[in-house]
Amino acid sequence: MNRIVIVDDHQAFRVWARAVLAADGFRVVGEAVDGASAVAEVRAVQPDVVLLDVQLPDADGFEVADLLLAARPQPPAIVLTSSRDVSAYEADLARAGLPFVAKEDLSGSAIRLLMGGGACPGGPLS
Amino acid sequence: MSRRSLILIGLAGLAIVILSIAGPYLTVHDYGPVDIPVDLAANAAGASFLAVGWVGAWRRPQSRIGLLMMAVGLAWFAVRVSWIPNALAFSVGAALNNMWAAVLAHAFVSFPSGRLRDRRDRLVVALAYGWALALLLVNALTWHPVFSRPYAWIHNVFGVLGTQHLNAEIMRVASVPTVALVAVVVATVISHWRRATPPGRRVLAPLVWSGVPVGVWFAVQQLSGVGWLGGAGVLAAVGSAPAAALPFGFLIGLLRTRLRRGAVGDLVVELGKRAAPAEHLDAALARVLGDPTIRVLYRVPSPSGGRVYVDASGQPAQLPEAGTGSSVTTVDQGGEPVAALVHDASLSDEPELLEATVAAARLAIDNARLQAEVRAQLEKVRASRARIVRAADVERQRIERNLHDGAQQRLLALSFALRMAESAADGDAELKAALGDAANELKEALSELRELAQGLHPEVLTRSGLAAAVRAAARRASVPAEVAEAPEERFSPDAEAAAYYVVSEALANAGKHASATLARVCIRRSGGMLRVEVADDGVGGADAAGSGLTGLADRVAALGGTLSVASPPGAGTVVTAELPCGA
Repeated sequence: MNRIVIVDDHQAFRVWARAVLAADGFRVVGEAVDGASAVAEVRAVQPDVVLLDVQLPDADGFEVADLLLAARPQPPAIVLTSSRDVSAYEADLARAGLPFVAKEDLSGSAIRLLMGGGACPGGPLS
Repeated sequence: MSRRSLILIGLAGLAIVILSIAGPYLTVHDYGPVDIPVDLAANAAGASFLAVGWVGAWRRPQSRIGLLMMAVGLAWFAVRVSWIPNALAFSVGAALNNMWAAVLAHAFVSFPSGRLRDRRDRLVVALAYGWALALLLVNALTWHPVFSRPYAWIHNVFGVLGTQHLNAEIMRVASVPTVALVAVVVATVISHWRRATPPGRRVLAPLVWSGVPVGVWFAVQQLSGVGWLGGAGVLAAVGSAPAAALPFGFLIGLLRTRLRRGAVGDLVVELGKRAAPAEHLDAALARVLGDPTIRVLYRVPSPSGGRVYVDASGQPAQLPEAGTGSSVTTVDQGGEPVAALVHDASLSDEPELLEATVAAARLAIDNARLQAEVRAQLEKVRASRARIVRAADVERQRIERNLHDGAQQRLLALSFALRMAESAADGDAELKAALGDAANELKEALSELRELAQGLHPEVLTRSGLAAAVRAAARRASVPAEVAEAPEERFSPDAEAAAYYVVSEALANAGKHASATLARVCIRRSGGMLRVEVADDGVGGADAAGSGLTGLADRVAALGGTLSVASPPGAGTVVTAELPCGA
């Protein structure tokens, strides 16, 4: 349960997220810069987790999440992230029932905690 | 028709009347005895058609009805040609005896413009002329006059067929279609009246009152003349009196116009009494001209140069197209139209009334035009203010995005770098602590930057709408705040932004200045308005002219809304905004 794909249009973030997550024991098996490439990448590498930016250049993160969750046979776990204030996404997060981590709080342990359904650091219902 | 030729025609008509009356006395020395009332009524009928027709042509040069009525009068007197002592003239005069009825039908159907309205009208008039012509031919060919005084020229030169008995039989049968045709003409006039607008009806009404009895009279006369109906004696006593009365239906119409010119005087008085607002002017004109549809449009400078028409409220308006039942009378100044009266097309038949009205209302129209111009400019200013607010919002959104994509991402990268360095410095406790401090400091900076971005443009507002944004603002507020009510629906970005900034500014004030312990937000939509209310239990005494509230008031006013602040010292503050949000 440690194969992860990072979807974010900011290259600097992808570089550092890769480093931080790798340091925390994740295997970053793919990266994508927008919704379309995210769907293709996830289909290709079948990761356990997708770290998904809420706002992508070509699509809304929540729509991309819906597409990814419809994947067969085993949809990945999804953790949404953003550098904006979480209040902007609360309604959508509650509707989608997806975990959220603020970018500056990103770490391997935070992701594991969210996937495990535990308390959500910086998450919608904290 | 020029006035000059109309005068000549009038003189010719007068000569015809005189000759027609005098004719018999001139050609035969023993003319008489004459039934004076009957003869008078017959002459009066023709003369009054000529006279009233002439007055109509003089007063309404653009209507052909006057000329048509004069034609009725001429046709009425055509029979007098028979008194020229010549058999051919006698025959022609006798044949033309009843042509006036067809011309009268034409005048009826084409009243008041003298022009036929549609195919049905043209058909009715064609039938009338056709039937009259057919009767004329049959009569001319079969009539064999029998007179008590066998003047030498009394002889129908066309009467080559049949006998007087045959002629009488034909005329008896023919009277039925004649009466039917009269009924059709009367029905046509009544249907014109029914379909007319109120001012059109007033013009047609005298024709209906006078025309229907004349139609009945004519029909009864036809039927009793051929023996279908009794009462010939009564008819002889009444004579041509109803026909003589008919033109006065037209005359009454003309007099009504004159009476309404008196109402123009009332208009002057009414407009003089109070400084009339533009809408009041429309109402006064509608009353005077009897046209509830009347509107005054004003020609004002347009934003794109040139000039456009606007209504009394300053909204752009179009002049009606031709054929819509509305007409336009322009009000000119120095050869340039400055305003336009949009009115029922039937009023165009009374140009003097319109002219007098415009002259009387001139000053009021000028005032109203200036008012409309000011309103149009105000509307322009309001629109440009709304554009400025929108442009500022767009700019704030752009700056927020730049912060998000630029500084925020760099600081994030830096914070990751520090964390990596921190975990790499496991051996050096001092360095690790320093890096940890730096990372915390950076986290604070990031959080402040996010607050700044949030204040510039709340992403939640564009993303999830007003209710979600207001709830987020209430949670973030420095004073405990509850959102009692907020509609979940979406509004225009302008309205949402204005409502949101009202709430966030009021909540910020409640925390910063009012030392409130509780604030309550209530947003409610009623009709096309969004009512935003933020109340707190603080010290009150808020200054509505303070810069934050003034900025808010400007933003709200730019949308056409209002902002009010009630803040009695010691009794809390209530900020209320009313914003138009679409129907």
